[in-house]
Amino acid sequence: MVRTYRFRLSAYTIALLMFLMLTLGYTYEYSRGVILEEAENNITSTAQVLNSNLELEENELLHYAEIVRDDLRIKEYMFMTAKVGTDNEALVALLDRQFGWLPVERQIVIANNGRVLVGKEHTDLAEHVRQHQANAKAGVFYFQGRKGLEMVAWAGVEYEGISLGAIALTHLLNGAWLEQLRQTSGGYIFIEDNGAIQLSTLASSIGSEFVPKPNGRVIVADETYRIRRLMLSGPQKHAPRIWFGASEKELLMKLERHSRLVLLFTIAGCLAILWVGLAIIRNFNKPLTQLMHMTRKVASGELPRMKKSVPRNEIDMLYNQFAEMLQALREKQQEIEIAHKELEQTAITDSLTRLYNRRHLQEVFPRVLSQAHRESLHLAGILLDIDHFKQINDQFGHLGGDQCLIQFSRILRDTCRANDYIFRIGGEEFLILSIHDNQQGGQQLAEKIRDIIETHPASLNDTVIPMTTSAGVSHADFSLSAHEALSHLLMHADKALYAAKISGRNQVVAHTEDKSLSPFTANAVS
Amino acid sequence: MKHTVFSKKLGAKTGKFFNLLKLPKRPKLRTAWPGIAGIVLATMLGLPQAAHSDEDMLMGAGAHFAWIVFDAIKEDLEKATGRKVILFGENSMLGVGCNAGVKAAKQNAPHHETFGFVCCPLSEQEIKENHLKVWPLAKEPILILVRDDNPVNNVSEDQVRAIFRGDITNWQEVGGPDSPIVLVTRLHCKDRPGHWKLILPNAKEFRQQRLNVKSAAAMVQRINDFSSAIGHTGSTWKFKPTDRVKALTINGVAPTAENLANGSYPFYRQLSAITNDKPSKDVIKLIQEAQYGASFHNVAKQYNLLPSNPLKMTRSVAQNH
Repeated sequence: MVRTYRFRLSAYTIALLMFLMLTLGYTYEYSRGVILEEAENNITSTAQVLNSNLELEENELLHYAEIVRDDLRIKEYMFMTAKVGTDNEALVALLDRQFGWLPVERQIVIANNGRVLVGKEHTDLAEHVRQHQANAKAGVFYFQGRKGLEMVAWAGVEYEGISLGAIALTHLLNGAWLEQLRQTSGGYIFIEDNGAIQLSTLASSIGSEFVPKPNGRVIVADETYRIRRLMLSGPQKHAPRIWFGASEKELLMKLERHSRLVLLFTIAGCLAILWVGLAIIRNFNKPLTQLMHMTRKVASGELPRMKKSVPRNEIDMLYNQFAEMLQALREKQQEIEIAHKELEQTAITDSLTRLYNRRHLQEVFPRVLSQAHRESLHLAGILLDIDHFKQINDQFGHLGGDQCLIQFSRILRDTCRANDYIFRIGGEEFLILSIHDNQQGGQQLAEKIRDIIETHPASLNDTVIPMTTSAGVSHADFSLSAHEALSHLLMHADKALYAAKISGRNQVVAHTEDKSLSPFTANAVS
Repeated sequence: MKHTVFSKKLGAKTGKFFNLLKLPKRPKLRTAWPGIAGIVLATMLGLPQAAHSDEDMLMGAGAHFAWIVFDAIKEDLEKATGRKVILFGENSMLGVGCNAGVKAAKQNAPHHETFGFVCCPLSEQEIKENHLKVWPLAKEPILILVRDDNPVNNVSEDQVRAIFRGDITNWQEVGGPDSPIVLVTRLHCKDRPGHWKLILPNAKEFRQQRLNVKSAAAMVQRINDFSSAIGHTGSTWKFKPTDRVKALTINGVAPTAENLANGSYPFYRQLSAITNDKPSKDVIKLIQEAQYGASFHNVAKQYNLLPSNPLKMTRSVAQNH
C-alpha cells in the first residue's frame, strides 16, 4: 500500500491533534482529580476543625454549667428549694443576678424528682434533661427545641453529699450560629432532620431533600455537595444532624473557567496545526504531485512541457530542474527522431533518385493493397524502364546515365499524385503503385509519364540526352495474399514491359486477364 | 529598716497599698476589693510592715462590729491619744474578724502599737495562752432577722431555738404563712463562748438543712433573697436602704440595750477590745476612751449596744448631760 506524502502528513497532523487533545484532556482530568482530591482533604480537615470548634463550644457550655453548678450559693439555694421546699424566687433571683450574663439561650434547674426549679416554661428541655440526668453526672447533648437545634450542657448538683438535681444551659444553633461557623470554615453548613434540610447557610436549600450517599456526597437542589458529618456529643438518635459541605460546582468553578481558556487555546492550537499541516501539504504536496504526474508521463514515454516557476524554495528549484531535464530530454528525443527518420529514409529510399527502394515496397504493399481493397478501388502497378539505358551510359558516361535517372525520377514525382508510391526497383527500372477507381487509370498515368519523358530529355553539361521509356501495367489481385499479390503484380507488369520492349519501346503495354498483352499508346487510347 | 527594704521589694502594687495605709484619712474606695486585698495582705505579712512606716500610728484590727464602733469614734480616739489611729475590719468577710483581732493584739510591741477588737468573749484558756488582756466594751443584741415581707413579727425564745434546731420548719407553725423555713446561720468563732451559742450551745444542734454563711453581709443577703428565711446577726450593722430585712421581737421583746440591760432579750454577745499583756499607755488611753468616752456611748445608742462601762463624766460630757 502506497502511503503518500499527503497521507503521511495528514496522518501526522491528525496524530498531533489527537496527541494535543489527549494531553489537554488528560491534564484537565488530572487537574480535576487533584482539585477534588485536595478539596476532599480540605473538607475532611475543615470538618475536623469544625468538630474541634464544636467540641470547644460544647466544653465551654459545659464549663458554664459547671461554674453554675459549683457555685455554693446556687447549691444552697437549690437545696433550700429542692429539699426544704421553699419557692424558687430566691433561686431564680440568684441565678439571674449571678449568671444572667452567661451567653446562653435557656437555663433550667431541675430537681432529682423531676421538678423544674427554674425555667418551668421549658418543659421540652426539662424532659430531655431528665432523661440524661439519670445516666451521668454531667454532659452535653443536642435536641430539637421549639426554636431549632439546641446544644445542651448539663451538670448534676450535689450539696454536702446530697444529690439535688441538675443545671442545664442551652445554646441555640440558629442561623447566626451557622453563619459564624461558616465564616470559620467556608463552604456550607446544613442541619438535617429526617432527610430534609431544616436550617442551612444556603438559604435556598432550606426544606430541600437531604439524602447523603455512601460516598460522602449529597445532591441538594440539583447541585452536588461533598459533605462530612459533624460529630455531636451525646446520643444522636432523635437529634438533627449537622453537616459541613462544599459545592463541587464551586470547587471546580475555577478549573472550569480555566478549562474554557484552555479549550480556546486548544482550538487555536488545533487550527494552527491544521493550518501548518495544510500549508505543508499545499507547499510540498502540490509540486510533488505534479512531479509525480510528470514522472508517470515520462515513464509512459511522454515528455510533457512544464512551466517553470519563480524558485522560492527547494521544491520549486527541484520542479524547475525537472522541467529543464524534460526540456533537454525533449530536445534529445527530437534529435533522435530526426536521426531515426533519416536512417529510416535512407533505408527505404534510393540515394540517387530519392525514391523508395525495393525493400520499402515489401513493407508498403500490404497496406496499399488493403486500402484499395477496402475502398473497392483498383491498384495498378506500373513498371517503367528507360529505353536503351546501356547505350546512354556508353555514350554519355555514367554521369550522363545518372542525370537521366535523376530527370526520370523528378518527372515521376511531378507527375504522380501525392498518394502514389514510386519505387526504383532496379538499375533503370521503376515501379509505381497507384490506386484508381477504374481499370484504365493506371494505364493513363503510365502513358502520361511516357509522354512527358519523351518530351523532357535530361541534360549533362549543356548536352541534351534524349530518352524514352517503356511501361508495363498490371493490376493487383485482391483474392491473393499480399505477398502473392505483389509477386503476381510484378510478374504481370514485367511481362507487359517485356511486351512493350519487344514491340519497339517507348510505349505502354497493359497486362490483361486473358493472358494477352495489349499495347497502350497514346494514339491507341485516344 | 529591714521592713522598709522589704516593703520596697514588694513592688508597685503592694507599695500603693502601703501608701494607702500611710494616709491619715483614707479615701473612700469605689469598691471594697482593694481594701479587702490590703487587709488580707496586711494580715498575711503582719501588721508591723505597715505600721513601721509611721511610728505615730496606733493600729487596730478585728471584728467588723467592733470596727464600726471604733471607726465612729476614731476622731475622739486620736484626740485622746494624740496619735493617728488606723483600723482594719471594715469588711465583714472570711479571714478578718475576731481572729484578726487576737493577732493584732499579740503583735503589739514598742514602736509598733497595736490592739484588737472582738465580737465575742474569749475563753480563759485563749486569754492565758495568748497573754491577752480583754477590755470589755459593750453587749450587743443578736438580731433574729427575717425578710420584711414575712408577716411574722414575733416569736418566742423557744420557737427561735426550735426553728434553729429544726423542730419547726414551717412558718405556719409560728403563725406565719404555709412556707418552709429557710434557716441561715453564721456559726463563727466556734471555740469561743457566748454569741450564737446563746441560741443553741452547739453547732451540731442546729438544723442540718440550713444555709451557712461566712459573713454578716452574706447573712443579710440570704435573708433578702428568701422570703421565708430566718437568720441571726449582731445589731451593729449598717443596713442599706435596699435591704429587705427586719428583726423579730423575742417573746415580744425588742433587741434593745434596755432589754439587754433588764435581761428580757435573750440573745446577745460581748464586744471587747483586746491587747497583749503589755499595752502601751497610748493604747490603754485609746481603749479607755472607747470604754468610757461619750462618743462611744453615743454610738452604742445608735446600734442598741449596752456599754459595759459607765460613762466617764468629763466636763464636756457633764455639760452635755
